[in-house]
Amino acid sequence: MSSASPPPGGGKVNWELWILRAVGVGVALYIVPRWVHFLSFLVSNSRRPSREEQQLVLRSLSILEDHARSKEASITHQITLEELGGIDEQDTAAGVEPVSGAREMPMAPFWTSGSSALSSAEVELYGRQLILPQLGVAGQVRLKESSVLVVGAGGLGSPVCLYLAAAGIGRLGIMDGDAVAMTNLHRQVIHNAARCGTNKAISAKQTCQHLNKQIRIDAHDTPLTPSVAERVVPQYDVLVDCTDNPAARYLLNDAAVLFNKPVVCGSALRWEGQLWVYNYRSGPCYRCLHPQPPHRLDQSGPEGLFNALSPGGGACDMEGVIGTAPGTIGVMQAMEVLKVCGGLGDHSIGASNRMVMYDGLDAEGPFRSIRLRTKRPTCAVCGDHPSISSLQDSPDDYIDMCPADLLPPLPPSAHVKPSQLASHLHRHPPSEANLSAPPRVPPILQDDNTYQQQVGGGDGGLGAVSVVDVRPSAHYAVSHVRHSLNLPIDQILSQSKEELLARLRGPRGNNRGAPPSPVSYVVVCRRGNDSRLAVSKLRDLFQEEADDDQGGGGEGGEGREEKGCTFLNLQGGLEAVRRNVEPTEAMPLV
Amino acid sequence: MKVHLEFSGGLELLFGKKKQLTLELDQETIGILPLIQHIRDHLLKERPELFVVGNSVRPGILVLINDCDWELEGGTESIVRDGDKICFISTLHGG
Ligand SMILES: [Zn+2]
Repeated sequence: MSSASPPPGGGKVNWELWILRAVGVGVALYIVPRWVHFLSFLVSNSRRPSREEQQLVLRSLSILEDHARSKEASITHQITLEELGGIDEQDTAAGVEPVSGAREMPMAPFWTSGSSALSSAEVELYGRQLILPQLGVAGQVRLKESSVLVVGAGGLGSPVCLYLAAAGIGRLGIMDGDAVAMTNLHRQVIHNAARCGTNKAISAKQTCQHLNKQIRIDAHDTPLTPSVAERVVPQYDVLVDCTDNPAARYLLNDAAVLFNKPVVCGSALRWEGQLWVYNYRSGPCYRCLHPQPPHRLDQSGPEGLFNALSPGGGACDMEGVIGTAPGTIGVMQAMEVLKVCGGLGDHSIGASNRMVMYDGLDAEGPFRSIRLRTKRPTCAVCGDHPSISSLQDSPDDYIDMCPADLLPPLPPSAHVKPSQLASHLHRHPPSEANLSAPPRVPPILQDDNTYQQQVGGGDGGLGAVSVVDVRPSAHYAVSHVRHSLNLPIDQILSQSKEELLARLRGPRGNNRGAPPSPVSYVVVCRRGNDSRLAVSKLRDLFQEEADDDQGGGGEGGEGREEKGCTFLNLQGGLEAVRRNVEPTEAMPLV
Repeated sequence: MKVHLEFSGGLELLFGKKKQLTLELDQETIGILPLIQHIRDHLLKERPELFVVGNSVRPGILVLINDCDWELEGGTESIVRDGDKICFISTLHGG
C-alpha cells in the first residue's frame, strides 16, 4: 500500500503507523482490531489514549475502509473517535477537529452471517438474547423491524427506553414535553444532572443512542396533544403509555383505538405500580375499564385531591414515589413490548387479559395478577357504536388537568410576588436567617414553635409577616422558610374554624406579647396553587369577619386576634422564590 | 358469612391504612352494592366521596371478586358468598 515515508518526529506510535503504511492492508487487518480492543480497554480503565494512538487507529481504519470499498467487502465494524476517548478542551484549543461519523472496517471475507437481515455487529450486540430459542434470529429481526413509541420519558419511560434501545427495537420514538429537573433524577435514571433543563425526549435519545448506535431513535419534544397524536401515533406499531396524568392516558387510549395500535400501559405511585396491555387482540381498551374519567379534583386517588391543582407536577410530586416502583413497572413494560414485537404475543399479559399489580411494601405477595373484563360493548371509543370518532371532537377529557380556572378567584391585592417575599425575607430574615435547609432533616415543626415574626414595617413592603406553609408535612420537614408554620392544605380544608384559629394563633401561653397588627399571613406552597386554595378558604373564614368587625366596631369574637390581618397568596410558590435566591442550590425544595 | 376485603392503590388510606380487613355478616350472601354500602357505613374512616359515588364505587376504582374484574361476575348484580375475596383497587396515574 502506498508510499512508506519515514515517520516524522519519531516516537513509538508514529513508527508503528509508518510500519502499518509500509506493510499495507494485510497486516493492518491483523493489527487494527487488536488496537481497537486495546484502546477500548484503556478507555474503559479511565486511561485516555494519546492523540497519536487515536490517530493511528483512525488512519488505519481509513486505510481499511479504502480496502473494503475496493473489494466491495461487507463492512461490519464501527468505531468513532469518541469511543477512543474523545477529544477534550485542550484538543479543541489546539485546533484538533472532532472526527464525526464512523470509521468502518471490512469483515473477513470467508465468514458469513446466518441471516442477511442482521449485520455482524448486530449479531454480536444481541447475541445473548437471540440465542434464546423463543426469540432466535427471526425474533431479533422482528424487533429490528418494529417501531415503538414511548410516551413519557420519566420514571416509567427511563427503563422502557433503555431496555428497548438495548434490545434492538429498530425504531424507537420518545415523546415528552418536559425538561429534566433535579427532582426527577432519583427515578428518571435515563437523564443526568448535567442535562437539567434539557428536554426529556432529547436527553433520553442521547442516552439510548450511546447505548446502541444500530437503531433509529426519534425524539418528539412535545407533550401529547390531539394533533400531535394524529401526526405521530400512525408512524409506530406499538405504543407505551409512560405518562403521568389521566388526561394523557385517555388521549393515548383514544389515539390507539382510532389508529389500531396496542398499548403497553404502566403506572406507579408511592411504593406501588400497575401494568397491563390494552387494545390488543380484541381485548378491552382503557375506556372499557374506566368509562368515566376520574373527576379532575381526585384524579390520582384518595390523596390526590390536590394534584390536579399542581400544574406540571404529576402525582409523584405530591404523594411521593420510590424510584424503583416506576423502575420495576417500566422494566416489565419493556418486557411486554419485546414479546408483542418479537412474535411472542401469546406470552403477553395482554393475551390473557391480565393486569399485574406490584406492591413493594407487601412482604407476602409483592406481585399479583388479576383477570380483567372483556371489551365493553357500550365503550365510547371501541364499542359497537362509538361516540368518539376523531381526537379533535372528543369529550373534554384531554384538557390539561391543571386548570387555573378551577382555582378560586382572588382579588389582585391578595397576591404577593415571589420577588417581593424574597427581598422581604432577605431584609428581615426570620431570626437567624434564610431559606436554606438545615443540615439534617429537622423534626416537624412543633405546635409550641413561635412562628410569628415581628419583622417591622416601614419598608414599604409587607409589614409584619407570618409565613404559613401548606405543603404536606413530609415536604415541609425537608426544608422550609425558617419559623414558618406548617398547616397542610388538607388540614386547612378539613378543619373547623376553631381548630384553624387555634393553629394560626399558636399557644397563648407561649405568646410573646400581642401579635403585631396588622399581620399579613403569606400562604405558601410549592407552586402557588394549593396556597391559593388555602387563602380562599382562610379569607372566607377570617378576613370578611375582620372586615365586618371593623365596620361594626364590635368587641372580639372568634376572629378578634385576627382583626386587621390579611391572607396573601404567594404567586408561583416557593419555586418562584427560589429563582430569586443565589445560589438556588441553597434552597433545596421537594 | 365471612368476606375478605382488600384495598390498594391508595384506598387503604381511607380505611386506617389497613390493606386487608375481614367482615363478618349475619347472612348467607350479600349483593355487591349492599356490601359497598355496608363498607361505607361501617368501615370507612374518612372522605366517603373518595370511595363511593351514588350507590357504587367512584370512577377509577376496580372491583375484583376473587381476583377477577366484577364485570366478569355480573357487575353491580354480583352476589358475594362466604369466603369470597373482594378487592378494591384505585387506578394509579403516576409515571
Ligand atoms: Zn373500549
